[in-house]
Amino acid sequence: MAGILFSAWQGEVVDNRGKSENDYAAPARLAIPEEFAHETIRAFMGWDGLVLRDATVDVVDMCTRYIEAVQKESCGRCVPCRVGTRIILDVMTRISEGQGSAADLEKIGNLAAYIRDGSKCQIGQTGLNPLLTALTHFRPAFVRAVDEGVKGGGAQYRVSVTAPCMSACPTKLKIPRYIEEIAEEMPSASLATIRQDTCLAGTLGRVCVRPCESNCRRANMDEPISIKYLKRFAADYELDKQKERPVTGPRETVKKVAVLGAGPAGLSVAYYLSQMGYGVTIFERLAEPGGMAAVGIPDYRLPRAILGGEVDLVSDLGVEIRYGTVVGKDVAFSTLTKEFDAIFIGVGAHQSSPMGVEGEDKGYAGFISGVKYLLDVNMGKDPYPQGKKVVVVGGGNVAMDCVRSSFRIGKPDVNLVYRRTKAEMPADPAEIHDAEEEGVKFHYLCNPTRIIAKEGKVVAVECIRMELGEPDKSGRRRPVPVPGSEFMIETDILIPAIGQAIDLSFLDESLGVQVTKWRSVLVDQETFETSRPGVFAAGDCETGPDVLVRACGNGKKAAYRIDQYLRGEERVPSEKERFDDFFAKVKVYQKDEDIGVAGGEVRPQLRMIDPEVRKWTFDEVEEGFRTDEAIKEAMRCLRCWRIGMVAV
Amino acid sequence: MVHLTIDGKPIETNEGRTILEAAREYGIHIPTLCYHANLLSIGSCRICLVEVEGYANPMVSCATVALEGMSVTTRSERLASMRRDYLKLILAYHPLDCPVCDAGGECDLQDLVFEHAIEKADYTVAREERIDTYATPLIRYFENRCVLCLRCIRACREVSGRGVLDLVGTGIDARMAPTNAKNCISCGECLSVCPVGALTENLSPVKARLWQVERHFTTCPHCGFGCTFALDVTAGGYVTDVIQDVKNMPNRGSLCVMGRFGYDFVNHEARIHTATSKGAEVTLADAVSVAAERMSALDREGKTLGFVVSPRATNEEIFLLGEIAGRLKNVLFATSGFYHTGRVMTAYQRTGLSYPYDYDRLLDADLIVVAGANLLSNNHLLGDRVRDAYKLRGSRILVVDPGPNALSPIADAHLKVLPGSDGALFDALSATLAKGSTGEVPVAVCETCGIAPPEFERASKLVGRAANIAVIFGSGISASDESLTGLLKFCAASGADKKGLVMPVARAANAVGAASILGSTVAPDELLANPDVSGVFFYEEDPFHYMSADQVTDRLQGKKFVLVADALPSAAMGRADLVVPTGVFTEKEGTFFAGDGALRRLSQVVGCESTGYPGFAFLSALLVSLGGASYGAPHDVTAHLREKGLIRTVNGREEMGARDTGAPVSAPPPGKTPLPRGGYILMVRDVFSNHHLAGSEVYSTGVSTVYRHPGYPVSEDKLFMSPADAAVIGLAEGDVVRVASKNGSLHKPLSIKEGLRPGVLEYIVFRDRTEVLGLIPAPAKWIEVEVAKG
Repeated sequence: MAGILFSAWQGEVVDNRGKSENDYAAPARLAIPEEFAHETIRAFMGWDGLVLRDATVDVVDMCTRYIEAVQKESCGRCVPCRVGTRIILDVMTRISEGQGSAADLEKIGNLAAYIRDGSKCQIGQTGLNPLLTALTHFRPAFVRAVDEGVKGGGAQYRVSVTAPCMSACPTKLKIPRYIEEIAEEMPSASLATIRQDTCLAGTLGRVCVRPCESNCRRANMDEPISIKYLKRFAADYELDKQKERPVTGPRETVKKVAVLGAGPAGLSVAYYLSQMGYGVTIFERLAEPGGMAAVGIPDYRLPRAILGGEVDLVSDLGVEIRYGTVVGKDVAFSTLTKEFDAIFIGVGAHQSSPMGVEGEDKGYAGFISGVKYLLDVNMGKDPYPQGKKVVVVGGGNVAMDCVRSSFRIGKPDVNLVYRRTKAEMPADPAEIHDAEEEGVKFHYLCNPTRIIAKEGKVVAVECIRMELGEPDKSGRRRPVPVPGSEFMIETDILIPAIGQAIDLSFLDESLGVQVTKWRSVLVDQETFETSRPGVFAAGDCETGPDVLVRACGNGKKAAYRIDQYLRGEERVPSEKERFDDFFAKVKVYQKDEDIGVAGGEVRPQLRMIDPEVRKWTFDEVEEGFRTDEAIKEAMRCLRCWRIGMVAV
Repeated sequence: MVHLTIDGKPIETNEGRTILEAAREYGIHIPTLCYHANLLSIGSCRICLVEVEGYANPMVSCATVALEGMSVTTRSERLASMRRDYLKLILAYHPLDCPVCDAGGECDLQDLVFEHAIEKADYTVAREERIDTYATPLIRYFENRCVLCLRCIRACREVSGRGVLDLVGTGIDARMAPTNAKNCISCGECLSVCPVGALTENLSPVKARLWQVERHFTTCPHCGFGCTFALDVTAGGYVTDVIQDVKNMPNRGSLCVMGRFGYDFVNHEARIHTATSKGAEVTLADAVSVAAERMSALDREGKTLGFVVSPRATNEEIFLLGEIAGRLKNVLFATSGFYHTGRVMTAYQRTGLSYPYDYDRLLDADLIVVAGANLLSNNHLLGDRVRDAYKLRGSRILVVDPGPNALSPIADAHLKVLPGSDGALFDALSATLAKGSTGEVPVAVCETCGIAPPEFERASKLVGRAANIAVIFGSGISASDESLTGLLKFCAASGADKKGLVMPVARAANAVGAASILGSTVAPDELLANPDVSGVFFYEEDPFHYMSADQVTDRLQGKKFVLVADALPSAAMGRADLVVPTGVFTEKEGTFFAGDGALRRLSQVVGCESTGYPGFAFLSALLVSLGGASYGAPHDVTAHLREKGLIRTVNGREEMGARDTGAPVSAPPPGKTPLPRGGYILMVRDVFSNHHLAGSEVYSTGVSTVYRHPGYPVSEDKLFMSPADAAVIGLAEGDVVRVASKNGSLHKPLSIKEGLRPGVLEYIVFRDRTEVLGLIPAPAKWIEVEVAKG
């Protein structure tokens, strides 16, 4: 890292003071951006220590301000942090005012170590690290401050709070808080906390890919917290205990926003904008809400009632959803631009990518794209009742949903063809495991080459054997066909599920909304605004097929930008969002960190319906946590709140 | 089992135990402040830190699970100085007002400071002092003494399920505050767990230090749950405080508003200390002669003598009453406990169920059905037990009650059935058990019960999925024979009966004793209506509590001799020929059988004469003067009850003996068919059916204080109606309503209650029962009424 004068981070101390800049050693364990909100970062203090770029930053002053932030964030739930950090702050203030004594330094050093070693959560456990580091490496500055006080280095400080799990979450759920609220027997409060950051608590609690859990410090001790299922618990609690959903009710609205698509992105935008007082109308192509979450995820993983309840939460805010309305057909995009003050595009990737195989464009009966198949099945239809045997092509979650759904509409013989091996499969391992349990036949290392049809009906698919070659860009080994190894798999139904595409045909070029070469909507990555002012986009139509939680997160951010637009303000990320980006770069989770305390508590597993029973029904496969399990699991959370402060 | 060492000592403990729990099993002392046995680990004080070999950081023993092979150190220089420092941090703003603090001498912080030899406070911090009003006037909150251990907040949520308290603010400004005061029911759980003097009782005008009082362990006299606690009593016999300890079973130190604050009636100035004959004071000996003479005379005339015995009298008193009756030819027994417990016992006998049960078994249940018992006005602690099962084993909860009860906030289904229709509901649920949950909803049953089919389906799914179903029920069920029969069949169908999971509540402290010691009893109203009964002996009973004044007056009109024995003035005394003082629970020695059928002991807290307290002395002397045996002191009678098998020991627990109660004398209550839609049902609920609180006077300042508190829902008798009904009739809160039955009518301002089912009115009796009892032809839980704008 360039220009680091001093750094103590993750136990690595790099001290370049007194060296010429050319001789600066670079810290290996530190990744810190040059700028924060377009201003140069002069220094940074955080959970692991401190980083100094600019020698003029007054370390004593910055320590004082940091401790002040710690004391302000101290939740009051343990003595050392609550009282101790206040006492240190008082002493630091005294020193800063030139009223300190040499004994004070001794006193705060000892106390800081005790707070670090005995506090309940990471606010107290890490909040003293910058001070302790500074006391060791910047002693003369403290001694000087005792004599002269502190003048301040002319720096401005910006401070924010994060946590490893939270930092990894695309929608920035306040995970440690909602988990603690479950541990403290306040499940309704927990749900309210979740709902500050998403309207889809029950949905995410079931189908989120949970990046948080792979960034959970508890994993360093035993196993990560079951964050996803705890979220589900909080959401289900409201339904199980028949709690009334908080109703805020529609408000007087001045400006109107059109939202295209009632999927996760569109619902999120509508959820926030309506709470801000805008009138939101969602235009939904299908007869039901949820977008890909509804038609792309089978009921046995995400019951429609759950999603429906979350849509009701949004509707209750006064959001109008016009079902069965296709933009570009029933209503022109250009009409929307006239009738609404802003437009949000949140359509999903509902088209299947072609396999590039002979016969796939012939319209054979029994050849159905994965997305279409799931849509039909989720609408309660068997798309091809004559067919008994099914072959699905692909290794992602859509492919898994297709095979598992096939049993549930009564198909007895279900096969999956994937060109690599199980180890390379992108689908959630839990999904693969469940599909295996239910009896799906997996054909690894083979790929379709030709569709065989008779009288316009699929009868078989020709495949070729593959072997794994050199790793590709994704790091997975590239599958290579074995010449002459073609073989046949007889089948009635062939379902390609190898990728999805977005239908943006409603966007007329004259409208000025530019599209990328991957046929996604082009937006400014900080503001989600398209090339046409007042038109915003997020979700799969912007990122390409992606995970649900990212659509939620981006939808939330887009809503704030739309608000800025409608108020005639500059569209810029909030300081908190900037910090979120900053923290993501610094990396809040450290995989090799030694937590230093004993674990030994494994996380509870959800009870599942027996595979032989569940495979034939769309009833939800997994049963959520009981109260005791949820409380116990939530109590394992280490509450890794962390404070970061930059000097600019 | 897990093996580890703590301070070098080999320890074997169950898997999942914390280091602290393991240490305590072996008597190894680890200092704690925020830890509380009834609560999940809090971890706020950080005093219980220990070191474990191989780990860099100390960890709190209250929240760290003991693992195989661990080597734990509880005492080291580092730990000692950390603990000392944390204590000094607590003292940084904690006032050193120990001499005037209620907790002085019994303060966990004081003990810890002493244990850690802290002689001066090294730290000081400025903190704004606030005078906070608390959620209930019965408790005083000294905010600056609060150490933020958070026990009270947790207890209010976890144990009482009220969620009144919360932590507000951050850093040094973080405070405990009653953020949801309207939810407070003054159970005093917060007070009981406070380790310091931040929460103190605001009731007793007399305060005393530990060394100025004697502490006696006894049983709460109020409801049938049978809580135990200790009382502090001055040398002058004044009860100054209730002392709670987690070791007190079955309540584990918890109490309700009655138990915690309802003790002051013992010192009430209205207490009756002398006997009176026709209004003139007589000695107890004279009273015995008068009673013996009059009773023998009636007996000789071939008249029947009726004994109406309180379900709050001790087993020993009840036994003596039985012996007295044994000296006479024609007698009839009645107890107000008949209306619920008596009917339950009769039905049990009919169906072959055995009575005693064990509250602890609730932890075995994955579904707990709570039917016709609101667990607020009595058996509050049973509600806490259900909440415990919900917290510790994830039990689901099905409430069957027309209105909200203590558990409705955490119920998975709440069937607001029409009163009296429970039988049909439980028959349908039994069918679910027999067939498995088919998803079919018996529409006719839903119609009868007045519930929506999805509600039934919800309940039916819960029942269908549960392996172990526990059933708690109260007078809402026993008030109708159909309901009781249906429910008991359901208990059999679910296997709850065989698993010891059927738990009828008992409303009064010794309702179970009254039913089991007396054997056959009848309903008091039947006894009084019996023309053969010429003399009545009311032992701590007051029929004005459950019958209309006109009826009582009318039925007592022709009685030749009315004897009333009681501790405080009652309405019945106005009709008495002879009034005899008895004694309150602090003066009595003896036993109860609580709702679970287990024995509870009353110890004499306040000294009495050697002959025992007046009630017992009177009964003993009367028995002797009628030619009966002399049994000596109350504990001699207890010994006799053991000999006779009326108290027996089963698995180390003393409980009610099996007794053939003979054929039921009273007919079972008629099955009550619910009203057609459009009519109204008036449910009468006692806030506390306790003897000492009724009539025109409330004898406990504690209880009347809380009920007069503006935040509390009941300050006087109140009539509640659902918002839907109020809207239909066009009534607003406070509007006067006319409620009429075949027997009479009353006018009352209306209160609107969320959660009450439409078609049902609730009348909560607190002070004056005469008005509402005037509507009721015979003691009943509910009646049909007409409702109109007043």
